[in-house]
Amino acid sequence: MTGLVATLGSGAMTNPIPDIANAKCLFIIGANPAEDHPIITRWIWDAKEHGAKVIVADPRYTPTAWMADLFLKLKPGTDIALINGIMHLIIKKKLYNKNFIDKRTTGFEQLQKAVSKYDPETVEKVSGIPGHLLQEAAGLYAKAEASAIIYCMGITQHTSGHENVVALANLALLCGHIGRPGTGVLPLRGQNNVQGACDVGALSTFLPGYVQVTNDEGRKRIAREWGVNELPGKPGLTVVEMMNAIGEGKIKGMYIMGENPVISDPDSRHVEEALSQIDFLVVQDMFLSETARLAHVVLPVASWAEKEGTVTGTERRVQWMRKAIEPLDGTRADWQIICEIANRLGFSFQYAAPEDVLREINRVVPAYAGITPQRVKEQVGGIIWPCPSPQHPGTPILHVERFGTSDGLARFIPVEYKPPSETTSRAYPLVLTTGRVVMHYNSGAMTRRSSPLLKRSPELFVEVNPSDAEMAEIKNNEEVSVVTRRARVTARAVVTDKVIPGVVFMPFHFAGTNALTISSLDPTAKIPEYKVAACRIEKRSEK
Amino acid sequence: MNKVLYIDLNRCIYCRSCEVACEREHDGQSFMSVLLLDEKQPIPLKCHHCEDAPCVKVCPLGALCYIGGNIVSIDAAKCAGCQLCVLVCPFGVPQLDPLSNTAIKCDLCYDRQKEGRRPACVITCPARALAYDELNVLMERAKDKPGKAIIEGTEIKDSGPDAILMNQATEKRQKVADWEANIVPCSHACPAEIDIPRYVRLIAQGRPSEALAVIREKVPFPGVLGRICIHPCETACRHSQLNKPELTDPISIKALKRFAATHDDGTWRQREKVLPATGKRVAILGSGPCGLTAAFYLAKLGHTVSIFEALPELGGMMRVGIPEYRLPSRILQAEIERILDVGIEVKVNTRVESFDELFEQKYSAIFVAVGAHQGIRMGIEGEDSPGVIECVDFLRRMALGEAVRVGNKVAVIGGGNAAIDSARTALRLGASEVTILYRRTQAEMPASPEEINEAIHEGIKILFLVAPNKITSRNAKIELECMRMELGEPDASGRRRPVPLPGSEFTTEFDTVIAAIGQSPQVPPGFGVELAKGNVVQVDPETSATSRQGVFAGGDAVTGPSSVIEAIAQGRKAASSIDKYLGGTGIIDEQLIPYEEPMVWLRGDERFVSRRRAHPPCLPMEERARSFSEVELGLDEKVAANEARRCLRCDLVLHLSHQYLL
Repeated sequence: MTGLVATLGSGAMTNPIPDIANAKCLFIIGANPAEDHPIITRWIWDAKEHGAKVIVADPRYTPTAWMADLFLKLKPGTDIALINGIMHLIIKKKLYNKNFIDKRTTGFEQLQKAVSKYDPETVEKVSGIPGHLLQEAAGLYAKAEASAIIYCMGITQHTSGHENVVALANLALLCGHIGRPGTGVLPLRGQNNVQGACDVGALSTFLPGYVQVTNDEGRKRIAREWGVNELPGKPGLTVVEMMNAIGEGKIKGMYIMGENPVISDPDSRHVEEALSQIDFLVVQDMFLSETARLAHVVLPVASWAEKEGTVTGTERRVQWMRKAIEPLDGTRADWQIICEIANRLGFSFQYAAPEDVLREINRVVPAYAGITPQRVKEQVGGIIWPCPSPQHPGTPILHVERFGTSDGLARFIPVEYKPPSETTSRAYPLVLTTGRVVMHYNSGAMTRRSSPLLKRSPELFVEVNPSDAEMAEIKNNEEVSVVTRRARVTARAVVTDKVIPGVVFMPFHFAGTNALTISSLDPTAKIPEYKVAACRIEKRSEK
Repeated sequence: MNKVLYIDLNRCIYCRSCEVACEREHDGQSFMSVLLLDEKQPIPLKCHHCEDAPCVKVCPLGALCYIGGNIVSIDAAKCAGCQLCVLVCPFGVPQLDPLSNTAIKCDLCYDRQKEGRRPACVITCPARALAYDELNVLMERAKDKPGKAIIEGTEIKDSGPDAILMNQATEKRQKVADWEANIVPCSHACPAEIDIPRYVRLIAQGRPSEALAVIREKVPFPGVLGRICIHPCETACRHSQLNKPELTDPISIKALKRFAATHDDGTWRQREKVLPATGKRVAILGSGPCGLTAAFYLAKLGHTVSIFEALPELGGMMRVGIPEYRLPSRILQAEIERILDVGIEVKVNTRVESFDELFEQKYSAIFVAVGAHQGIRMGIEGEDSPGVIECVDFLRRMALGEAVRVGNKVAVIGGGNAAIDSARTALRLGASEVTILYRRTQAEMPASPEEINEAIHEGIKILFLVAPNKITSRNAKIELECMRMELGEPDASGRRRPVPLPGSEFTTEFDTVIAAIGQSPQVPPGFGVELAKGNVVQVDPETSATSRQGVFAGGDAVTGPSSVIEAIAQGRKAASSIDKYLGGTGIIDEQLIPYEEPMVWLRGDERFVSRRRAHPPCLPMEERARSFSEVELGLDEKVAANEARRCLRCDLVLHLSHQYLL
């Protein structure tokens, strides 16, 4: 998100999901929609049926790669080298969109200089992608009438996550593939409302509507709306920083809602220790998750089927969700619980229904001004923000005429490849990368409790390339140990050439994977480097 | 217009949402399964809802039918759990639900469709790889996807995804041990591989003389077997698997065989072939079921066959081991004569002790089928006392018309059919009290359950867990001292070994004691063949060849005491093997009636569930006393036809799926 803000002035997906069908070239990098966003594949297939070519870049041969016309099997953490390498070739062959660059961007000369050293031989050495495949990728992306870039955590969950995204934005701007149907830079966010949560300020550096907490004027306006004298003017801590702060004694209490950090935070042993020692822990969740078990107080919450309100998905589409049943006895909607607590803390949160909360959002967040309860309930398919007034139809495609920057122009920001924070060594010779599988969702709190899903994906596994398996003397289906500097975890070995030699993959839906991962953060976005850690695989010793 | 299911293989991303949706819709049963055959091509395995579906045709009860026009569905209330639909589907789609013991399969969410909703899998597929619409609409869609789209309900193709799925199903079946046996269990259980479903069907159609021809394609003793066969076919009959207890009795295959045997109008003889003389001579030692069967087939293959029989009559144990009230000798005699009609030389009262002479007489091959006629000694003190007789001896003398007497109180030691035969014979000779003593329990008795039941019916007592210790002769009576047994660890046969209980000795007085504990072959050293444990002749199991060149063996002489049908099967195998040895093809199979496509009109019979197994009438008890008249009588025409209509016709599975099974 920070990467897109820096280049394009706005952090969200630039084109809506069905628009993918209009692309003539799709560059899918660090994303596995076939497993993680399956519904999106229907539009990818529609695009292909209309002649689109698909490029997929991933260290693993995932089901998404089955859709590829060109598959780039790159080494984990080398995305900037790859993307800069593609831009190098586009510039060399003069395939860039000069007209667009001149009219709508700044900083092209610096970019040109920066990517000049990313020639194909250098890029191949770093990323493992041969020169002729880079040529093909460059040609396909640049020459297509409309190309879109689809990316996800494979790009963001690195210490260079911010820069990875910047590189992708650079590429899109270089060829003018933005602001039109079938183009764009499309991050696929996971939860159905993570975009919405960010939009209303559930972030440590922003108030609702992406007003920086350090912005005095914006802060004063919102404080007025909320009927208080002041609001904090300094950015708060992010997730990983919070866990470290507990260890340092700086945080005494924590209130966790709908999140399971014991499973989903990196270096999770550290997290478990911290949460076990904290003075006061409240967890608000549907199930007694691994994190909830450590809480002093558990607040039971109703599920999605029992709640009403809007959700804003990755494409900025705001839709009203109706409940199917009343909440079960003893559970309540999250917003109700928050209000009850706020009122006991001396505030006056008087909302009779979720519609009232939405009306407040209409007042406080300019992009949501026209997304009123009545409109959003009536409009099939919801309304896409920005929607600044009740007559405005919504804005499916961003940056059509102006970018979200102060001067309306997009910025090229050159970025350099740098290696991940933990590199391999003799003791830890393999790269551990993590991700998702189709049967489970995030920490598995819901999916591991569903028997048809669990039985199709019952346990933690580690994908190992046959040559690495041979060296470690392990066979397919054997129970093995995966070891990093932080932990030793047992997993079922899956020997496959889906992963390149030197790389192993584990899904994070089961306890253990994140005990192994490292909590190094991207300095700008503060996102942990889930995608790269150093590990080794060992046979389990007989006891 | 009917709607059909469409699967676009290009779009499938192997997320298996369809499997999960189906499972959720059907409470834990999934009718959709996506196979990933290589790393790039998933194939959803789903019911094709075939036109003219093999599963609908094969169901004996009409439980499988079409609903909503073209949707194949199972009516659980009618399903008896025979699993013929599970076996016949080339894709392996129907499954047996272990809880209800009925077959289940996809019905395209018919209940949802009635509410205007589409099948669960179709709605859930994220990639829109599944569709449910009218055929012409889907054909249009499939136009530019040659080979990559499956439209259910159109013909099954022998290439592309259909072929892959069928191969997969075939591989899965072949991993199940003996899967072919599972399809037609009766024929598979028959040592002679008689085409049972075919002859049963002919009886159901009122064509018993043709049924007889089918039987005679494999065995020359239909009337004998129809009376005394141990019928492994009935034990294997698929009826035992049905989920309704009133339907689990097997088809009375043996009784139907007897019925067919009584309708000999000579049809089978019209196509019987006898090949031109080969000039080769074969000597057959023994004229039991094994020797006679081998002689029969070898003679038809053109060889010059001579039978050497030590006893004055032909038939082996059929003649001298099975009493008249079970197998009237005239029935046996008539069937032996049909065999001899082919042109076989017979020498009775001729015991052969060595082969050198035979080879000098230019016999090119010798077949040892001397059976097992030597009674095994009990090995107890006093067993040679007067009044103690050996059962084989006893039954043979009865059969050959010699004068035999038994006293009033008779004990029979043993638990096989020979023991039961001895006991029932003793009763008919006038004994007032007959007791069988067996050292294990009824569950371990080797005799046929029917024989045991009839013996008890006739008033014979059976003492279990009792074994003889000592015999003392006193005043023309026999004092039989026995010990009680208990069952210990299993022995080589797998049955628990009887262990004597110390201090449990008890003595009973009898007039006659008949020892019937077992038989073994008598193989003169002059034969020059290697023997195996139990004094049996050792042979190569494929060729029946013994250790001596040109000498073959079969029947009880090789297996130890077994059954008539097993001996007949051994005779067939030996005939084929000897023919090959003599330079022939070894082909003894023949077709005695023209082959007919099985018709499926006997399917979906409403009255099926109301039919019960027919029991052959038996001679009333008063008429049995002291009489050797045949106890079990035959079925009459109407009863036989009804009984034959109970058959599930498992052979239809092979017929319907042969076009698909690869």
